[in-house]
Amino acid sequence: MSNVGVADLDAKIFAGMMRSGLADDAAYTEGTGSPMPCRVIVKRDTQIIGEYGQVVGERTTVSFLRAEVPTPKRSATVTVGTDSWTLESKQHEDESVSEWIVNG
Amino acid sequence: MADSDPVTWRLALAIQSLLQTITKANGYRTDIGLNVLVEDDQSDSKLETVLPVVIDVNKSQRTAQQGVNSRQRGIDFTIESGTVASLANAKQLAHQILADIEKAMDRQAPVSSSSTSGIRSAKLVSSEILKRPEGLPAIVVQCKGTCNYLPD
Repeated sequence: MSNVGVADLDAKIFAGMMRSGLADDAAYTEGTGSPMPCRVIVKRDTQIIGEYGQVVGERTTVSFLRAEVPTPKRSATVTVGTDSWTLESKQHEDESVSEWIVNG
Repeated sequence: MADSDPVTWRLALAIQSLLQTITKANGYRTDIGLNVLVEDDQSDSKLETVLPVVIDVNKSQRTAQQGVNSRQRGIDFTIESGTVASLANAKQLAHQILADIEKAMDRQAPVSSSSTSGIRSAKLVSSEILKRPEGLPAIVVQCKGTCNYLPD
């Protein structure tokens, strides 16, 4: 499959997930720049640190279509509705999708 | 602290009392002393801003040193303290917690003597800032120590 093919497929997947309510409209912002509208897929899980005084927190990932946000950057923010996160580490990236662990 | 409690549990409570002095009002950098537990706990980093310090007193062994009371035993303890943190300050907060715990323990430490028993023999032997899972807005510091005691 060509790069264009992968991008087309991912765009259709995002569109389908938007229709199903599984993807969201979002705003991506770098530093003091202007918010950039985009669509994202948010996945939520939990994770734990510690043995005796365990601290439980979210492990949230956000996937961007690179056609909309070509090069997401660490410390940028992404806002979905009332939720806002800071991009912490890139987990996966291919020609069309960039997935990040976010903090917030 | 009930006198009927075993000495090892009384040691746990003594360490708890010691750590409860860690407040900004007492000259420390943090307020971790406001919530010090001796039973295990689980906190949600999203719902709570002040996470507890948990003390676990666990592994006991006979003291092998010569020249000390042959009944003397040593017991290991772990102090675990977490704090809600952001990407920008997680390590800084961890170092502040570590410094406060070390300071509190040092304030109680007597002149080093392997034969000293009870809380005044408690000393930290190692500490570690646990690797923070990516995306988790919290960080945890773990301090390990040892304390001598004479069984009841």
